[in-house]
Amino acid sequence: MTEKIYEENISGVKISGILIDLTILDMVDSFLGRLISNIAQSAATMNANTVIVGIRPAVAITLVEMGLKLKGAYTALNVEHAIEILDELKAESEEIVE
Amino acid sequence: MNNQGFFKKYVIDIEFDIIKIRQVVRKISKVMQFDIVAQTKLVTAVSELARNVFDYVGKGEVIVEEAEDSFKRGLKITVIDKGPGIPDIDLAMSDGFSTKKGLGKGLSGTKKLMDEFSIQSEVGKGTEVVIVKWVT
Repeated sequence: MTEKIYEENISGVKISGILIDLTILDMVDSFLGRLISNIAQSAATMNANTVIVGIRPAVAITLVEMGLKLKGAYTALNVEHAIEILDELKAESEEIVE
Repeated sequence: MNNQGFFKKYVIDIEFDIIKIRQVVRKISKVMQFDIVAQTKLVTAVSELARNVFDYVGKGEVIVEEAEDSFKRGLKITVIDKGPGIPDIDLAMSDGFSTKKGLGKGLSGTKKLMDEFSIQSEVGKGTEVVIVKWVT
């Protein structure tokens, strides 16, 4: 998946935001946590932001107690909220460019 | 459903076995009436340990059984491999330790999720991790 993000950016489709929905996951271990972080961080190097939605309460509690951080990714309550965040971040980075 | 004294053994051989073991632990912990957070912690812990075995050794075993003492009952999970062993357990258990693959939270994080945690390892012979969570 990380490779796909790279490819699509390189081939000219400008991706400014990535939204990952984790609703389906009933657990996130350090393996999955690293995968998500890697996607977010490689996207960030290409000026794309990553927002995660749909983390279940039990999963969030487990992540915090383990001390796992999903570095590089923003979190949102729902898809609507996530798109708002992505729009804001995009606007901010465009301001900087101008 | 009477689950008393159950004892089940699963093999870790291919990556899909990790998913299978996760599903088994989810199902058993549900039947034992662990709350949803405890279920998630158990599934995460077993996933973490099974992933370690798969990544660093390739093959191993997971034993899922009922734990009991006079006051409480719980779930005991033993993860065994016959791999190279861990030379320095204290180092491997320390927060932030990572060989390269993970976030360095695997073993220390697993311990934080469980009520009981013990690890035994002998270089050249293998590693055995036992975790217990009590129903509250």
